[in-house]
Amino acid sequence: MSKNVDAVVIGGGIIGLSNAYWLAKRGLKVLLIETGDLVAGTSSRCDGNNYICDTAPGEITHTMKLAVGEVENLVHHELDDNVDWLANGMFTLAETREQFEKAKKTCEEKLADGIQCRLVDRAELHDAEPNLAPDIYGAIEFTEGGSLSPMLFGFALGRKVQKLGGEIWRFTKVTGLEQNADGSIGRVLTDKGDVTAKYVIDAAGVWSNTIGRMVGIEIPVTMMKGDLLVTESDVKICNRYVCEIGYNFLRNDQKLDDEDAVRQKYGVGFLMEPTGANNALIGFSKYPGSDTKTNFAATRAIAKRAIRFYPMIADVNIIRTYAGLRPWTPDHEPIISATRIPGFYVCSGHCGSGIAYGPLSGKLITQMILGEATDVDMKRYSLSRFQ
Amino acid sequence: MNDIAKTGFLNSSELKEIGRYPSEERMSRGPVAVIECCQNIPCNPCETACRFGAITVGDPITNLPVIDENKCIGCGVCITKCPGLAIFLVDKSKKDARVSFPFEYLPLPEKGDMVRAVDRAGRYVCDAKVVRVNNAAANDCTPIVTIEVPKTLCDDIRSIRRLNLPDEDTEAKLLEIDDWRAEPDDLIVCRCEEVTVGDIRKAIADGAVTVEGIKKRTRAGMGLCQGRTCSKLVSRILGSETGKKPDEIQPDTVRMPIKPVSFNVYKE
Repeated sequence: MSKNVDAVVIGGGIIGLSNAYWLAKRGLKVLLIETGDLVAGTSSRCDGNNYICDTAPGEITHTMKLAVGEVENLVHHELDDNVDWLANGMFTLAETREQFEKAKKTCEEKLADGIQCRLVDRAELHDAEPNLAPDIYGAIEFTEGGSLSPMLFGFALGRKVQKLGGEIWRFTKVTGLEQNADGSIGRVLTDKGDVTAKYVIDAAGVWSNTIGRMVGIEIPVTMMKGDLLVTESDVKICNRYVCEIGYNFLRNDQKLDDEDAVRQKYGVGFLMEPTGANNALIGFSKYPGSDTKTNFAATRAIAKRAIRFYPMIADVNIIRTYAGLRPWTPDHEPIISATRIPGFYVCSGHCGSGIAYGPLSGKLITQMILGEATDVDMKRYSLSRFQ
Repeated sequence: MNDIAKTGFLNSSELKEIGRYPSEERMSRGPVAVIECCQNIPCNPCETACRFGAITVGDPITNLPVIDENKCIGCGVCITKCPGLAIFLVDKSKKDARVSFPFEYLPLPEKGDMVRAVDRAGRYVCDAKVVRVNNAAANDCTPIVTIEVPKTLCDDIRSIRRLNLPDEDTEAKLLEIDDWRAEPDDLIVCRCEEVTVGDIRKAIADGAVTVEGIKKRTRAGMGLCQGRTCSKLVSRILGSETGKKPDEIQPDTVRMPIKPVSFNVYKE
């Protein structure tokens, strides 16, 4: 089989599907190639939160705000299927008075960046979250964004891509990339046949470096593992997405306050995401790893941490645990970038925020390909920042 | 012979063949213990339970117990002491035979109830009348139920169907269906998440080619039972609809903790 398209997107997760969506929407003939089923890797082994609580101040927070806007636009106006969107707002929980003092600063920074948030004192917090341990000191409330089911989101995007005329080859392995005589990207070789394309977007997530190396491009994306626990459905534990404020510190590689050795080793903290299926997802952990088997020590530490914040959860059942691999970059910020090979783009390394960043990332890559002004300055997300 | 490693038990003809079943003459005189133990494990409560010296394990303790049918008076004390629930009483002295067995499921039947007798594999054999329910304190929570059944069936009947299961065994019926193409769209397959055959057909039309692909599109298998009930059915529907053979369909991913466990227990 030999085929000719405008653009090939490699990777059928949220990032790849978002790219295919935007390229197809803007009239390009697009083919998405995925080695397995759609949303079968990182995108089905994560949570689905799209809140702006944990980014560093300034430019990246602005980008995240735009990203969440793109997700909401897709969910409410573009996609034809339900994706279990929940928008009850969220709390980042301060365990102690000291953490609450830090939270005040975070809140001010976020307000300065135009994010809707406010401090919530102890009385109001416990009124809103009656199952919370009585000593939890306070919280920041964020009201923009929401959460969704990444799997439903992915399948809905896939159907939309096809409706827009895009093509999807699943269970197809990319075996090589070929350049034209002038150095620009030329062909994508697969086990189902070769495809000639003007543009190739590497959206292979944790495998994006494998694809990059096919044309000699190093992409510093590594695998950062995380475990999640799923509770039985229909037990109301919390009313909204909650996470401990340590999440912010952790994301930016700061030490956790607690000296617990297991927590330090596996980067364990607490978050809880109510889902559209009436379960709750309980996290989190963060440590280098390359397999998707759950780590018993880490999941146990997460369970312990969950009981610390919501004591009543001790009697709630865990029905399932799962682990996923986040595509991590050295500075925890994504790579949305052209490369030294004309026509070859990288859209990867979204760390723990790929669901939220996906749609905006696809839009930005498409704007770059079409030579249009991009919604944000792309310098910060360029691959060249690592060279 | 059946493969005991697969079935988990010896059937009555196998027990008779290897001389581990009481004689017809003894059974016709009154109740006698039938010891169906087939594991050479270090275990001898049956030997110490019998006040009449009718059961011998001896040395080494991993021997299988041997019964002296003439010393056995059919009291049934050994039934409650066997940790493997492998001892029964059979009595062929009356017009109908009586079978006594340990029954550790609530609710217990009552004397006079009509119940559904099952064989060693748990398959329905015939209806039976309960003649005695012995739940004395000395039984230590292992009640002995005695039922009346035809003599021709009593060597294979070893228990009764649990009383709190629904009348129609829907799941067993569904498991007998090999070709699902004619089944109606509204038939529920995954009871936890209320996923129907129609939902699964839609997922297959949407491109699902594995049990996991169906799970991700429909939530079949993502509920409380984690697919223990439905994943076999889902894989058969997938086979029927796509023409794949059973061995070409990959089973679903098994995820810890297999059965639900509370946070409190899990954290330890």
